[in-house]
Amino acid sequence: MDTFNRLLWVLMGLVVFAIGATEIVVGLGALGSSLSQSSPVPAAVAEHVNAPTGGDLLGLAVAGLLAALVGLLLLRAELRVGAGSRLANLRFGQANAEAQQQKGHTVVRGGGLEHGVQQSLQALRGVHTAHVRLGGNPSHPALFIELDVDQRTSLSALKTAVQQAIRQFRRTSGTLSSAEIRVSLAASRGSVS
Amino acid sequence: MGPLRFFNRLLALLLSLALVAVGLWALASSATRALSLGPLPEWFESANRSLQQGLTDLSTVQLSDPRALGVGFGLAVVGLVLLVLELRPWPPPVLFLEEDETGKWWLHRSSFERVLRSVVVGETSATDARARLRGRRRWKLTVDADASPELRPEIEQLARSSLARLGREAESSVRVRIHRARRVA
Repeated sequence: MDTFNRLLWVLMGLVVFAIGATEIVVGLGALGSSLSQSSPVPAAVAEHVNAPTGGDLLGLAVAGLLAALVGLLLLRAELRVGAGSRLANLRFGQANAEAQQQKGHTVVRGGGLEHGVQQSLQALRGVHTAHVRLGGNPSHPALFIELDVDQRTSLSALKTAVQQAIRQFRRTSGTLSSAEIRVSLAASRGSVS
Repeated sequence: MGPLRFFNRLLALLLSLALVAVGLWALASSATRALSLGPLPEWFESANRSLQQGLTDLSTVQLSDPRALGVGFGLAVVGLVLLVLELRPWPPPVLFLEEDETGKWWLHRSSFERVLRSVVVGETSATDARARLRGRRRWKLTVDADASPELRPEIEQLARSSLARLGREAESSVRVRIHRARRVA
């Protein structure tokens, strides 16, 4: 989403700059005095706004619908940033659908697994807070871990403890999930920064 | 999230809300006029009248008018500022630490820079400090400190210790730049 937003605002910057630069160039008469005497809003457009025809109203409605749709899509995309795709459940059971219907399957709630890993990580020495999200797809689940770690903590010692928690998760869930761990350093509690 | 990423996201949120509002207004406006619905809320009628009046006024303004030139100049400046902000290189939000059998480890760059700055200011007599961490496999750490030149080894040691706690001392280069400390009047 960062790249999309950056491209969006590069494009907007280009459009805004082009409009401004064109206005200056035309307004100063660089493209001829007749153009510099013209108006930013042609009189014909103003007439259509004051006395719209049926076609004008239809055009306005379609443009409005498009703008609202694009706005809603953009709003949804921006509000989803950071949440990422979340795996709700892990399913275990028979390989094919028919066998699954006959013998059933086991569903483990993703939220419960996340909570378990999070609790064990937060109990580690030097970890201020931990956030765990189960993502990926059901056949290849992935753990996304955000750790706020005390600035004085040795990462090598912490790694061993985190690796144990991830191994424990793999044993519990029965999956060989990949993990991505992002570490933020935080000031020591009680220290003055 | 860095300040520019936050700025971009905030602008995008505002743009999306503006698009939804303008789109709904256009839909409502066209529907009420096409279906001759009424009476409409006074604020809605008033906004429509203001827009019509504004467009009529604009149709009488020439592009050579100083007001139009001023608006054009303003737009060009805003566009240019936006382009400079977006096109200049941005520091990466996370730096790769290592990969082991359990997964990939990353470090939030700004958290390290913030912590190192507070360590340098808190544990030495430096009056101010800035840290800048860059790199992929090999990191480059630059510390700018407002301090006495005698503090250089101490600051370098603090920087190296911080890297050592992350297990990155061997794969990093440290540069300390001392600036003249500001005198307190």
